Amino acid sequence: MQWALLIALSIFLAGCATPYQTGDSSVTGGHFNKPITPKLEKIIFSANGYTDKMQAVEYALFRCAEFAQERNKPYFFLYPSLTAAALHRPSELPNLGVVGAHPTAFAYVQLLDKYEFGAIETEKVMQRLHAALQGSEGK
Amino acid sequence: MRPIQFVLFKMPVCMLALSLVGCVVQPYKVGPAEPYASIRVVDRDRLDFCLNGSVHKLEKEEGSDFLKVPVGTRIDLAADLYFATYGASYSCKPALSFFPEAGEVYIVESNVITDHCFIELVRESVDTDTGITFEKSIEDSACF
Repeated sequence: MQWALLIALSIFLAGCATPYQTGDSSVTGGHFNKPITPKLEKIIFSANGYTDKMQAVEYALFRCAEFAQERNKPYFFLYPSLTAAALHRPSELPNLGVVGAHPTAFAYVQLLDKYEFGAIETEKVMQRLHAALQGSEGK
Repeated sequence: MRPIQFVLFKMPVCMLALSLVGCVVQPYKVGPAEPYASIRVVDRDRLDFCLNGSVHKLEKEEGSDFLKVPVGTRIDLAADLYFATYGASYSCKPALSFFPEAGEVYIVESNVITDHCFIELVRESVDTDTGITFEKSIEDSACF
């Protein structure tokens, strides 16, 4: 009986794309934070094989904006790598890694109090992606 | 034991054991009075390290978040990356070399991006807006 339940649960989990969620206690993936320095945070969205690659990138971007909003920062720089951060070469999208069919999107975030050239506006991303998330949940 | 059983079971085990013995990499430790640089590895606890053509393991010492490397000479670093998913596994070993300076802290990140593995290294700095700065001494690894 327990085996049947486990198998049913595995099939159920395997058939679902990773939703936007924290990955701290999830078996299907989600978002994680990792401080690199006091001024730079790594944001990761790790998804399962049923998740579209661009969806993982959007979720990582959304988490970057959410992270900035949680700290009351209206802008942030997003860097695709540590080297890009060291050379101040910001990007508009997180980086995407794919192993097998598992997409993992990640970025390094530097929070800002005011706009600087190349910065991303926190509220704009929150609005755009929040609408997209609601749309995907309603499907 | 019949010869065929040895061939099927014991011999592969012996060969595996011998091949593993050949792959053992000794851990490296900086001497107590020796100057060193520190390396913080994102998402990993160890790296492989090459000094004067010899490969060593670099591991965190107990109670420390850092790996310690010798200074005053160019060294090579490599990360053993292994991923397993849906019955398939992938491995790679990206590497670089740099010239560590005494008392400095470096951050190393390694990962896979769309079918290629990478390793990168930056230097910690309190003077920059991100807390890191580009490490100018980085070159390709000549050891790994």
